[in-house]
Amino acid sequence: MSRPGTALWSISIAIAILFIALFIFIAYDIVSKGISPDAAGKWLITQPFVVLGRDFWFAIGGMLWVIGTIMFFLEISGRTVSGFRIIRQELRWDAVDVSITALCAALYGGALAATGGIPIIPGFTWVRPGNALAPLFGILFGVPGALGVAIGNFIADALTGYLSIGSIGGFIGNFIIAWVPYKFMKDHSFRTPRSLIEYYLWGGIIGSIWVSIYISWWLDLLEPVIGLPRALIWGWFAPWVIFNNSIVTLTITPILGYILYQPIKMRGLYWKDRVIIKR
Amino acid sequence: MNQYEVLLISIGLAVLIAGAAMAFMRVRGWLAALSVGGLWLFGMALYAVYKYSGFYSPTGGLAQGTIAPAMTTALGFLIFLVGVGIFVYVYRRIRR
Repeated sequence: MSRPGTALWSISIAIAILFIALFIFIAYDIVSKGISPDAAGKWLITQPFVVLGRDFWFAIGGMLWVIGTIMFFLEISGRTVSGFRIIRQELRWDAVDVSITALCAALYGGALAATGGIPIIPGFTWVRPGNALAPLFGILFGVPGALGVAIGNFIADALTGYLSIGSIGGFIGNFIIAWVPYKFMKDHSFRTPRSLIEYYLWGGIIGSIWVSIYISWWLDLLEPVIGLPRALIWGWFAPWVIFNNSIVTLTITPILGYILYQPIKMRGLYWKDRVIIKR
Repeated sequence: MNQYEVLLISIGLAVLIAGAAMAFMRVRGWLAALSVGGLWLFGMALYAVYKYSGFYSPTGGLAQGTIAPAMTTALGFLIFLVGVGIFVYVYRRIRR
């Protein structure tokens, strides 16, 4: 296999720097305008939600929710979509797979809860550097890792005072953060320009947007039960979740992925070495 | 206990019972279902302990000015260390 050229590396690193710079700028924009829900309408990242309106995002969210939920149940039932076809993907679900799920749940849930006592706005959200682990576990461990991420988020919700009927959306939503890069990246090594670009697209951006809209749609649907006002869901919660996820998944995850991919692969724990695909 | 808490507990119990039934019928994935159901109920148990200890703020999140935030941080680190422990165990076990 030929080594990628300097130009390709330069382009991929430039794209990575652009993504990171964009979210650092968004962070500056949020801090300069104020973190409170009252100031959220002025944030740059909120503008697509303000301009296109709740009905537009509710329609988009409905589609993403249906697709995401179907994919969740397909994957845990041992099936997956490949080239517009549903194929069987047999997971062993032996002691190693179950241990992977448990360790991902403990690492992700523990990392989220460890900063749960540092709220940005009490009652709304908290600093979540642990989010960096979610796409990484999907990329390295596949479905067992993604399931661990979902459980970890549920446990963190319980420990931080956010557990409610909305946590069902958070459960599948967090599965999706891990599932998107696992499913759509072709090169999981974090060692090639293609791998980096794929990660920034699927893991950093699309995964974060999908989970934000997925959970927001669920909270909107259950607004009479949960009580979070719709204006706050789409005008503050949704953009905040995108930002809170992206800022760590764009910066910390690729470094962790670069360090961990090789040892995980060498020990045979990488998901592609553990599944049997039946076409 | 409100109806939504009952629903969440029911989901955990349903997955746990499904796992037990799968184990009885020797269906692959029974251990995973048992683990997911067990961890889900573990989350609900933590929720119950926190709720009845008054650790939650009435407006959501943790009650500031109480022991809850510090305890959650400590518990988070502890759970994280348990995860590291499982990782080291699996990593060494697969090496053999």
